[in-house]
Amino acid sequence: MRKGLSNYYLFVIAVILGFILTVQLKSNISSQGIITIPKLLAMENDLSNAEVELSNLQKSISELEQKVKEYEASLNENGSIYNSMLDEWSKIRNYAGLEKVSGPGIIVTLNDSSENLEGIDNPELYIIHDIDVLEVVNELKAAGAEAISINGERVLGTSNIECGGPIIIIDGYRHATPFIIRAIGDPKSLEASVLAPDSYTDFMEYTGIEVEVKKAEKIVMDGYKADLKIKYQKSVEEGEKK
Amino acid sequence: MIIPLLGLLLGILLGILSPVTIPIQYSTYMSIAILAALDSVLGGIRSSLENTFDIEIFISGFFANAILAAILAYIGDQLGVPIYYAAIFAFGIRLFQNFAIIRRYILVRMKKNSR
Repeated sequence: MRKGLSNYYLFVIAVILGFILTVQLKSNISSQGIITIPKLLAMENDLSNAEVELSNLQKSISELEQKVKEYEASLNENGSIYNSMLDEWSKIRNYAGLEKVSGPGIIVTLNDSSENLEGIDNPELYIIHDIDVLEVVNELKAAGAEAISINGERVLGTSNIECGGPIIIIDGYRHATPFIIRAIGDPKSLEASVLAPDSYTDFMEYTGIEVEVKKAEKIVMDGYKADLKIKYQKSVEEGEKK
Repeated sequence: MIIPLLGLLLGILLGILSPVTIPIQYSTYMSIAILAALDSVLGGIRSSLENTFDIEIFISGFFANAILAAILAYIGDQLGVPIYYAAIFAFGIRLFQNFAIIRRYILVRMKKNSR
């Protein structure tokens, strides 16, 4: 090969080498380092968390889109979104427990022990206290109860159940035994949670407190009657600081 | 000797001026190809010092090594085997060996000249 041609080739190769070197350096790619298995697992964890968040956000997007569609549909039909807003309003009132609702669920009846109390050192254990009712209500909530009432008194998230001597006081109203706790939700899982071997009612039955659990196809509940506790709170734009 | 250096400068200039960048997922292949190319260059310098330089071998080695290294790294990624490291070791060792030999030749030459 001639000397000139050889130089020409060398020149071209040098151009190529210089070019790819600079491009690579210019791309400013930081070294990833060695990826260890713990690092990989942490990354996978992060990724799955992000995916869960993403799917949640997508769900809320589709929900909101659905709502917008509803508004648009009612706007087209009636010329106003008043009706669909009213619909939403009543849904929210239902959720807040302010409206009459009905649905399948269970009815738990609690009554004081009918055992002979003679010679028993601690009769306290044989009557129902506020805390017993509270525990049962909490178990029902944990089992997915959507609405709960005690002796016809609707129980909300802000409700208080307290001791009033021989009676219990729920949101300022007095109630005496027997306590009939109605809960709307999946009857099977509600019943299972109340009757489970480790449940609070199981513990109460040791001292002869009468617990009766009935599944019901249709339970009708009144709305919340007592005063709403909305004196101090007000809505704000920004969320809680973390 | 001056022509390749001019070419290198031109290439660097082109690289700086051109808007081309490498997507991050291909950067490992590119870097391994660069390593292979550098290895070829050092090999070429060594062979020219040994007076066994052949432009055809040099050109074919330059391109074939770079492409093969990139392809091997890619296949390794697909298989889940980091062949990437094998390429780094192979080319890295050769690079240093070639450099050591080049250094020795140059030192020997300098000693001869000084005498």
